[in-house]
Amino acid sequence: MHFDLGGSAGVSEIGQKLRDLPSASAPPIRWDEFKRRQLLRRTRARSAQRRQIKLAAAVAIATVGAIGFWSRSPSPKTILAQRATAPVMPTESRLAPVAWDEAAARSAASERWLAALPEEPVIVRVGTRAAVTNLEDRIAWVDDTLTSIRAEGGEGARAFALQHERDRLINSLAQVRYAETLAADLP
Amino acid sequence: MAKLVQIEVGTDLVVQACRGDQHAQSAIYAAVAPATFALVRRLVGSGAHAEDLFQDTMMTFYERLSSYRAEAPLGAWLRQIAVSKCLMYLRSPWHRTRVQLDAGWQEGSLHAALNLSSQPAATAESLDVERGLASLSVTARAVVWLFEVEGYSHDEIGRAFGRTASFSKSQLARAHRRLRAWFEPSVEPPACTSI
Repeated sequence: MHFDLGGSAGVSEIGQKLRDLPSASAPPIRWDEFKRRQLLRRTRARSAQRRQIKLAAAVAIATVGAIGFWSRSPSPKTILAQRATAPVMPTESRLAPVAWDEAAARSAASERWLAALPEEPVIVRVGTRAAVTNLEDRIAWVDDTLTSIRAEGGEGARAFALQHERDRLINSLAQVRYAETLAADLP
Repeated sequence: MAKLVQIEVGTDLVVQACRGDQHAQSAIYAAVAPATFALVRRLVGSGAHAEDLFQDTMMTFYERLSSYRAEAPLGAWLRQIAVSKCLMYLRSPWHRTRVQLDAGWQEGSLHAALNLSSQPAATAESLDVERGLASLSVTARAVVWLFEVEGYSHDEIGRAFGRTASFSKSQLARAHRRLRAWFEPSVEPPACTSI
């Protein structure tokens, strides 16, 4: 395909007509208004940046907490295996009754708080969601095992250890969900 | 009024503006804003978008003013920012979708988009040229303006649009045909190829 760019006399005339058009237009906003919008935009950009930093920090804290919890805590199966092979000791000597009561009370409070939360937060984040799902799975597994033990009439050291583990998991879950709630509530 | 590319501002004024002097910044705005807005309007046409792009251009201009090295007139430096912003807008997928939706533009909306009444010294002939320019597609309008008025080469225009020089040449040829038909309605537009 060939385009006739320079051969036609009208082309240069058209170019001249375009060049003769006024090279200035009254700007849509005066300097004062421009300055006001500029300041407004800077303020918005700064607050958006601060919001992003806060959000990233909250998510990072929750994720680091969840990873730390996973890496330190043994799985419920391991705990059960350890309890089964360990020499049987009187329950009272392994866990002080006062500490146990406190942990149980704290767990019960955490469970009530968790029950009051919506099923899922408004903004679901992959990092914390994975931690929450894992903790919920482990609690469900402990609950199942506890139910089985109780159905068999066993209320001894194994059931007590599992109940203790369950309280610990509930408290961890409450902490992660609390971090999630904080992140969602950031302005 | 000088074209944007020819506008020069004293170095002292630029230095003061960089230091945050409001009077200096205001004086620079008064010097460059009208030509900048005219250029943006020629390139993107539509009133509301032209205003947004103008504001965006001027904000970027003040943000980067401290990096201006005075190797070219300040207006030429600002023109680069304005052209870059406008072409980025024209190339955006969102804008292309909107153009397709607005394909059925009428003469009245063209007139409104050009905001012809706001031009201070609009003669009958210049209004006619403005209308002819507005009858082009947004891409053809930008190409013809950059080539004929701003002095860009086909290579530069092709690069700016992320295309080749041939793209610029073909757009320009179509724009010329259309403008010739606009200015001389009795003249049949020449065919691209001879059969």
